[in-house]
Amino acid sequence: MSLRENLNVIVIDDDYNTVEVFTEFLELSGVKVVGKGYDGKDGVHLYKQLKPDIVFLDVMMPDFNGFYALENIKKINPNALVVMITADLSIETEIKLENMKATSIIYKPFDIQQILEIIDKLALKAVKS
Amino acid sequence: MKIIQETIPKTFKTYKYLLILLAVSAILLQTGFFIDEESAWWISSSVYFIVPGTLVVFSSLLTIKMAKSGQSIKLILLFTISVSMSFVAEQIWIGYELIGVDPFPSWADFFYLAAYPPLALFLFKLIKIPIRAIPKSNLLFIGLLASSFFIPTYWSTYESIGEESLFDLVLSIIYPIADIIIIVPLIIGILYWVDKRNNFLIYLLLGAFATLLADTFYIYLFQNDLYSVGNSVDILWIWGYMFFAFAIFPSNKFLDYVKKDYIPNISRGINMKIKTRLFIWSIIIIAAIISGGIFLSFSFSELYWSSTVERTELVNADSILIHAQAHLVPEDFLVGDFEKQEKTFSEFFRSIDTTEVLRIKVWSKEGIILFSDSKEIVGKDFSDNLRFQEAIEGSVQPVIKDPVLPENIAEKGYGQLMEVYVPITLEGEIVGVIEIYTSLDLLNNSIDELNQIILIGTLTVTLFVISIIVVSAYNLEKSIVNPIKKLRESTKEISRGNFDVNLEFESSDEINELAADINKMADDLSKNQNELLKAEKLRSIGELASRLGHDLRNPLSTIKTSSAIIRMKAAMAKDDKYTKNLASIDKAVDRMAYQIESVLDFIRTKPLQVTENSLQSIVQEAIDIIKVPENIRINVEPTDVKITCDSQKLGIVFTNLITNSIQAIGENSGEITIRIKENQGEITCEVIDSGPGIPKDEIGKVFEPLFTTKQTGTGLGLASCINVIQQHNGTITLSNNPTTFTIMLPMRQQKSPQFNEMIVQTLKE
Repeated sequence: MSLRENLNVIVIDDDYNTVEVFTEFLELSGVKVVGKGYDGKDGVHLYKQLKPDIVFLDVMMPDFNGFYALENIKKINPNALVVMITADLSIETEIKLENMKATSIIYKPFDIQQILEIIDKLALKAVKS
Repeated sequence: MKIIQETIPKTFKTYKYLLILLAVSAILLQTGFFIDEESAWWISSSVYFIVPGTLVVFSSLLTIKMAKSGQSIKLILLFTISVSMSFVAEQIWIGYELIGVDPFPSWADFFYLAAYPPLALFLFKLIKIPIRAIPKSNLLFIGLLASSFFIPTYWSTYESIGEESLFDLVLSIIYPIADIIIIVPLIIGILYWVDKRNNFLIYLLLGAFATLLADTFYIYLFQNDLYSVGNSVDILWIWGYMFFAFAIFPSNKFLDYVKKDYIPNISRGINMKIKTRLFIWSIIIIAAIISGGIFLSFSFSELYWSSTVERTELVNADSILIHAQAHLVPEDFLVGDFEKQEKTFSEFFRSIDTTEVLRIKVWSKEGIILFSDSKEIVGKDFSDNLRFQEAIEGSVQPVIKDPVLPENIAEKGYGQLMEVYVPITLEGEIVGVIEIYTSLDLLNNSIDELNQIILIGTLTVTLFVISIIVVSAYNLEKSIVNPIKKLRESTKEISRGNFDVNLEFESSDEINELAADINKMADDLSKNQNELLKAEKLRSIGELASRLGHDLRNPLSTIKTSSAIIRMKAAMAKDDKYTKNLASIDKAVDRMAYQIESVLDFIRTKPLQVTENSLQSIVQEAIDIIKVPENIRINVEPTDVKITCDSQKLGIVFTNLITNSIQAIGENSGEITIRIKENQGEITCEVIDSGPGIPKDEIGKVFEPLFTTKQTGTGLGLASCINVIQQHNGTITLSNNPTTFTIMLPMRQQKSPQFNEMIVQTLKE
């Protein structure tokens, strides 16, 4: 509980409802959401500005997608923690994300327990670095 | 092409003067028969001067006209040069004629030969298109045809020159070769353009023209005793008949024409049908046999005749001489007492065998007839006889005489005669000449018989060959042409999409094999097409499903997260009245997610993660996942095998099969038996249930994707089973009574190329 509260995260998804609900869930869980974005470009911009500990990033977005954001965030900080949240189950996407060194992949609809476990592990990592 | 059309008279009106010129020339030529040729050399001027001159003028004018209008004059220039050269040659020849000499070879020949190369070039350039269009084999055929002119032409030039010098010999070869080179494009052009228009009438006219020319020349040659077998005239005849054959034979165009609904087919080209080819080859073979027979008969009789004549001549001469030396004295040959000599020689000839000898003359040294069968010439002086003059010098002189000559009227009743002048040498000196007449009838008769035998032989062989050809043509029709037609029809059917062709032939030859291949091809095509259709169907379903899946997962995610938020808020407010409802929402979302996932799982085929497993344990794990209802007992037989496989995927297969069985059994109590067997590297696994079985007409469909009998089924369970089993190079089949799914799997998998499978939903350390 204690580690979670020190975390600053940003949430990027093209679906407004998803962003709002996910943000509320994170806030309730004690995680501080410092930024919200609706496409890949927003994501990169927010990361540059806010330097959050974790980025929650959707993959399929119009114009600038999750791959674009992931690539550019990793350019800014190769060790950036980026959790991909996607509804795309295809194996190609999985491989691509893995190659781009995504920290983790979570499939929608996700289990909140699963999210919390990941946040806790990443909180440890964030503290270490 | 244009050039040619412009120089060919189109109608009488347009080319009035030219046609009048031609007519006048032709009439002028005819008068040569009625007036003295020597004094009227101008009669032939039309042939040598006016007509060729007109041609030179015309072509020159056309060349100039084309050059002025800026057209390419290469082609027409070649033609103009050629006609000019031969015109010059003609004039030189007339010059020779006027001064009364006839040298060969001469300057005229130089110009004649010079006319050939531009003409050949002109013709070859003109037929560029047909040369490209005609198959190579046809070109060969045409070349052979053209070279048939070589020997007759060569023969006539060679005979007129003899072999006096190398230059003459070369010249006598150049003329025929030049002719052949010119004739090749002519044949190609005729075959191509006549056939292009596909007008058998042109063939008929050409045939008639050629045979008519041949007839005319034959009469001329025969009358002047110049005809010999294999002459150019004979070849002209062959050409004529060949044109007739072309006109009448191919595909009965003639009949169509008679029926008056004849429509020429322009695109046919000169691709001959099998039967046409056979026909042409038959004509060639029969012609070869007949000419072979004629050649045989001529060469045999020639040889036989000359050798026999020579022998007869020598034998007669020898025997006369020997007898003369034995019975006669030099005084008998002195001119004097004819009556005594009459007695002496009559006795002499009676003493020798004279069955073949018909008539005798005895000449004195001076050329006076001392004795003869015809009394009126006895005592007369024939010393100017050339044969006698030669004989008195000491050589035996044979002469062949035909009975038509007036001198031989006395020998009426006999055919050909041979006279032999035998010089008589007595006491080392030629004292006179004995001339004997021998009949050659016996010899000629036997030669005739020989020829008859050869002729009958040739005829028999020809008839035999013709009957073979007829029989084989019939067989060809039956065994090749008809089946090929059938094959063509069925291939057309196949291309129309009707794969239900079932070709059947009695014989087991290549055509039959082809038919079998076509049958198989149709089958395979049909199968492939079905599979393609299926794959296409699946692909479009897959695309739709994955998009739908993605679109549904986003709102599901929101619902699930929202329910979590509500639960968290409720927990904070210590309010538990929504707990049950929230659980329902979560369950519904999970179920929907699962449904979507199973569809997507079916669509994406991940590569196998092959490891060594116990099949028994895979089955057991599958059973553990499923909630087995109380009324059903699952009985797993204890046999176990080790197998290399993707345990997760194979697990899904068993889960699906067992779930399927449970649903089939339904509410009644029942039993599911799972039996594993191993036999020579192949594993058989049966899943047997006591359910009611599958209706017969649905047994083939159960493995098809999206086939389901249940309200809640995805229709993908069994379809994904067959996918997984096929990935493992195995088979899955279904049979009733009891309902049994039989899986056959190889024990070991060939390693498929692996790429790093992702570890999903776990964190990478």
